[in-house]
Amino acid sequence: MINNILSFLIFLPIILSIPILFFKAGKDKLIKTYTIAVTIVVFILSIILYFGFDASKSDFQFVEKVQWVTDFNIFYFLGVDGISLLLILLTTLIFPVTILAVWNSITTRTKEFYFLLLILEGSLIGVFLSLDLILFYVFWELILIPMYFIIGIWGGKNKYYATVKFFLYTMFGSLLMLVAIIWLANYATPMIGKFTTDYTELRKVSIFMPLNIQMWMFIFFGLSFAIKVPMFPFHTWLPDAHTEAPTAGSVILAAVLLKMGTYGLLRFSIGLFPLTFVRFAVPIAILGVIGIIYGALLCIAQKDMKKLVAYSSVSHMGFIVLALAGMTVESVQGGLIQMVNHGLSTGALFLFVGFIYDRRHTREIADYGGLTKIIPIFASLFLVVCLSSIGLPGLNGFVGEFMILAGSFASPNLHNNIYTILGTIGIVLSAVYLLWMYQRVMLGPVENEANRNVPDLNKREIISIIPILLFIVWIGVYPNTFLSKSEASVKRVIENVEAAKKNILNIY
Amino acid sequence: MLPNWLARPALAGLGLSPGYSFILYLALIFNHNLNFLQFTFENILILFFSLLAVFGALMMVTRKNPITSALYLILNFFCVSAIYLLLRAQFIAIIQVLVYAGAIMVLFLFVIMLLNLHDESKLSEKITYKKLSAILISLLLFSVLAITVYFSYMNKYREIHSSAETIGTIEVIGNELYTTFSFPFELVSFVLLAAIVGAIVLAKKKFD
Amino acid sequence: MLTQQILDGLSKFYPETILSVTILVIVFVELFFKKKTRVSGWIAMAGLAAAMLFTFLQVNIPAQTIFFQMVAVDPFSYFFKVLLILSGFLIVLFTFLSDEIRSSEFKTQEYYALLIALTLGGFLMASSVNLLMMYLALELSSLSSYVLAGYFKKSNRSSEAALKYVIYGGVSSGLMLFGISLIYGICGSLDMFAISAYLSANPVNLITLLIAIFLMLAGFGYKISAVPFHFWTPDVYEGSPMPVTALLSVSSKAAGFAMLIRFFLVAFQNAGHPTITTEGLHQYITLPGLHWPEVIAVIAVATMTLGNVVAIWQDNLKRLLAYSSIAQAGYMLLAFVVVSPQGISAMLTYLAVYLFMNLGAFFAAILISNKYKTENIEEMKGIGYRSPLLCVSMAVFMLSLSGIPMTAGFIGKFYIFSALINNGYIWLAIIGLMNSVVSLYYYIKILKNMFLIRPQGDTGAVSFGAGYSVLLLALAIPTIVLGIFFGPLTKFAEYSVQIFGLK
Repeated sequence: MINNILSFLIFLPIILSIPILFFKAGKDKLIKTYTIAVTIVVFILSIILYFGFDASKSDFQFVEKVQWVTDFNIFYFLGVDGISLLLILLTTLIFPVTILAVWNSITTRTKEFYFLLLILEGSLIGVFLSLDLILFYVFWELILIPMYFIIGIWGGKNKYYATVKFFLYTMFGSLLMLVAIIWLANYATPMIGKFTTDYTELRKVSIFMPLNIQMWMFIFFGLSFAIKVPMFPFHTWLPDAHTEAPTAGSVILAAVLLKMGTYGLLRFSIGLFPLTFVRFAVPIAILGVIGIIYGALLCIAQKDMKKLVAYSSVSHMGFIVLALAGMTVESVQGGLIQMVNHGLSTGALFLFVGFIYDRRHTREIADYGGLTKIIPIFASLFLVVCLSSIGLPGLNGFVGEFMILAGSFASPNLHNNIYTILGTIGIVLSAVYLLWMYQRVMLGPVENEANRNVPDLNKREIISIIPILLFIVWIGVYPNTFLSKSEASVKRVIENVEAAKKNILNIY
Repeated sequence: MLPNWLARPALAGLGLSPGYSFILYLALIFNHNLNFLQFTFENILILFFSLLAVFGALMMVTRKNPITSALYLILNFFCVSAIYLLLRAQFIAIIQVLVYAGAIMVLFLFVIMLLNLHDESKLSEKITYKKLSAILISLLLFSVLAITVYFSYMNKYREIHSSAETIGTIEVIGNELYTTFSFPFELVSFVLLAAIVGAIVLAKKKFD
Repeated sequence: MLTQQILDGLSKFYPETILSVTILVIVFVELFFKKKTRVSGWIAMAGLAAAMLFTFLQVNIPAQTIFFQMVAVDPFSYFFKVLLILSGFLIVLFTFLSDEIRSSEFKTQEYYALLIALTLGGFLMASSVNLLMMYLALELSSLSSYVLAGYFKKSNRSSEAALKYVIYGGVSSGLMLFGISLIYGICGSLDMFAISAYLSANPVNLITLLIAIFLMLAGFGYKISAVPFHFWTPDVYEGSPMPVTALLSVSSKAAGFAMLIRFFLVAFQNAGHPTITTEGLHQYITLPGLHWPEVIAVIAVATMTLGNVVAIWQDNLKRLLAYSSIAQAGYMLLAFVVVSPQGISAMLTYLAVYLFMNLGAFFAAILISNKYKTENIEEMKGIGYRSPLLCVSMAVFMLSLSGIPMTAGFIGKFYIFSALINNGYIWLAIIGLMNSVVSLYYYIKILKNMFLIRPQGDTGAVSFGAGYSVLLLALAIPTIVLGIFFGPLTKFAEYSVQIFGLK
């Protein structure tokens, strides 16, 4: 089983989602228990994977490779390295946590909801594990369908607009990616000797392609990832999707779906076209910085808590983009750990917004105030999460942001450290908008009488949030548990970039 | 807006049969190399009939009385038939007379009488947007035909092929029809069957 | 000699013969039934099944022409025969299950005869190698479809649609006939092989030839409803009963494509002169100066763009499917631009996939109109919860039509776009994919109404008989399975296009 553990990770949730459809309607509790059991099993599997993973090797491990389409040499090709390992852990952790946290918020069509959730989990894991471009594309697209229904059926007032926008935006990008995949494989055919979409084969030859061709392929790939991240001019779908999605949808969207974009940038854009990425490092960094500052400024102006958290995603994802553009071992390591951090902190922020929304059915900041006295447990845990998102030393956010800024400050690829300096403004701003929001919601006198009777977090909610807090502190105090696993893989990526740079000097 | 006297001849382009004669005429005109103009008796006859056919076509579209129009159309058909004959296509010439000048014309006249048009002004209409586009389309078709003919016969005088005389006979056509083309001939019967079944289906009222 | 030739031909002509006999039997048997019966339907099914059987017997027959080079029996026509029979078979079943036709006061006997006649016409269109044959086959299938379109005249509108269809059909087949006559004038033969031989040996006037090709395209374009010959499509699709619409959108279109492919590849193939272009790829040689693939590219782009853009505004499901089928024809034409075995086999693959997903979509539409008495998308709110199986299948068909992975439509599109990209038509591929994004909008709109909006008024579950479910699944399962295991299909398509000898 350990040899096929990756397939188990992907297909366990997908296959075990089918029995849900045959449960009797109305047996909500059973369905929820079943789903959470499945996700916990998947989480345990991923922990087994973590311990089975050899951190000293930079190659893909637990590789599974089966021919899928013979005439095009498309493979069912899975493998895990340090980069995907962390994201797998994040994904499998977020799912049981979310399900437990939103235990009672889904009341209609429970069966379908949990069915779609499991499908979503399987395909997300598939995205992070696929090493064949077409397989990757298939999982990438597959995610749209459950997400479409999750937002569309259980979403808020403007859900139709949000779903269509979400669907069309991402589809636009991903179809360009399909063109790029076919083009790349086709262009590589004479170099490899056969048409194949095997990532490990393609990355050997892709750096030798003419730069202008590389540039177009890079743009096509990059556009679809940039939309997913979302990078600055392509971010407009995100607030809509977040605001309209049910809590579980928002959490998964923020915690995992956005990581697909940065993962794609790291794995495919840098992995396949390192030189082009170096050429584009500065514009990408600029977009990242714009995202950081613009997102933060928008946050300050928000009146709706969920929208605020959504825009804070834009800002935080900007850091990761900046990290990738820096392309040094520290910055990419930092970016990677920041992906996990963002998943944990922003996921938790959405959960807290969801908790309070479940109690009061409003997300307007102005409706609250002085909640600390009424719900002390909520207030204290919420504060921890806010501080983690801001980047308080000792919590996870600090580690990621520090590494990113330190790594990109000295990056030879950016030529200039102005981007990093501007990026730090984002941290200051994040303190402003999160603490200000905290102050308006939690502190001060209780102005709205309706808030008097808000119950505090119950046991289930506390239990659900504890794993996240645990990891927040763990990464903040001892990040090496995770960084050590990814170090070899990240180093290899950077080495590839450097080698490609040397190569280009030899060629020209 | 185009004046009526210009629009109507243009409309004539739509009717293919008048068009054919026009084309034959143009074929002669466009050959600006005058060497080709060999005024044999045959060529003069062809020229005469094609001019007559054009005249018939023009008269047909400019007449206000539909019956007169129809009669001019018959003139046109006969002229075209004569041209076919001069080109040694006996069979087609006969078919032209039998089918077009005979059957189809009778049908035309029948319809005209059934329509019972007392007032001839019903036929004279204003030039509308629709008509203008019809004019454009007919001009397009005309130019396509003209170009085709012009480029195919540019500066060349084409003798009528010596084998034309034999190919055009009923005997040869019959022979071909029952040997090489026997299969399409059979297929035509199915096309007709489908047409008949269809016609009955569409014509009959619902069943009880 | 003559008898020998005909007897030999007949021995390879069983499927068509059976279909012809079926038509005659239905027309004859009909005389004995005054009332509306299903007998003709069963006869039609039996005929189609027998024809299928005899078609299967031809699976390994070497490529050859019969009846004095009128008709070819080869893997290419075999592929289309299988498609056409499959489609005919499903349409007969649709007709059985359609309330629209069941409640109509018209007898359905001749309906089945015409349906078989259309299939027979399609068979001959796919296999004729003589322009005259081609024209007659086209007429046979067109005539049948005119009548079918106006068969169940419900309203003035549907009669008007049928009339429109006849007029458009008449004009375009007239234009095509004119094109044929020009080609005959140029080449002195109606035989495609002779035309090809003449064109590769003699200098011809390219302008005349191009005009002839344009005129021929009018006929093909009308059959596959490509822009600018598509005007009839939405009206006729909307006006005809749903099974007929499904038939027109699949059988008729497939036959049109078969004819188009064979005409261009056989008649305009400069046999024996493959060259190697700068990209190191073998490229198909067109006549010098005559870039008909470019003409097709323009038509393809116009077709899919128009189909998709106009489909966005449609509220009527049938009309939406009509425009979507115009767009789908555009995608297939796109593959034709790449005149290589890869392109043509991609086209064939797409057609096979299209058969399942489009017929599926129409069948789902039939069931919706049976049960909910509506064709308006806005009135389909929340029906996803009232009949889940139906709507989930509809979702599968819609997603497949838009080309989402794990469905057959994705495989079809994947093959088309890889053919395009492999041959350097990257911008064409991008235009095609942008069109897919646009198309997603209206396919999703249907899903949105079915699943995302709560049902209004009556919310009770609406179920339907086992027969319906079985047929629905018989269409939905291949749509998914072909998205994962498609090796045999693509192999079949590749094998079918080998005869054209493209490099």
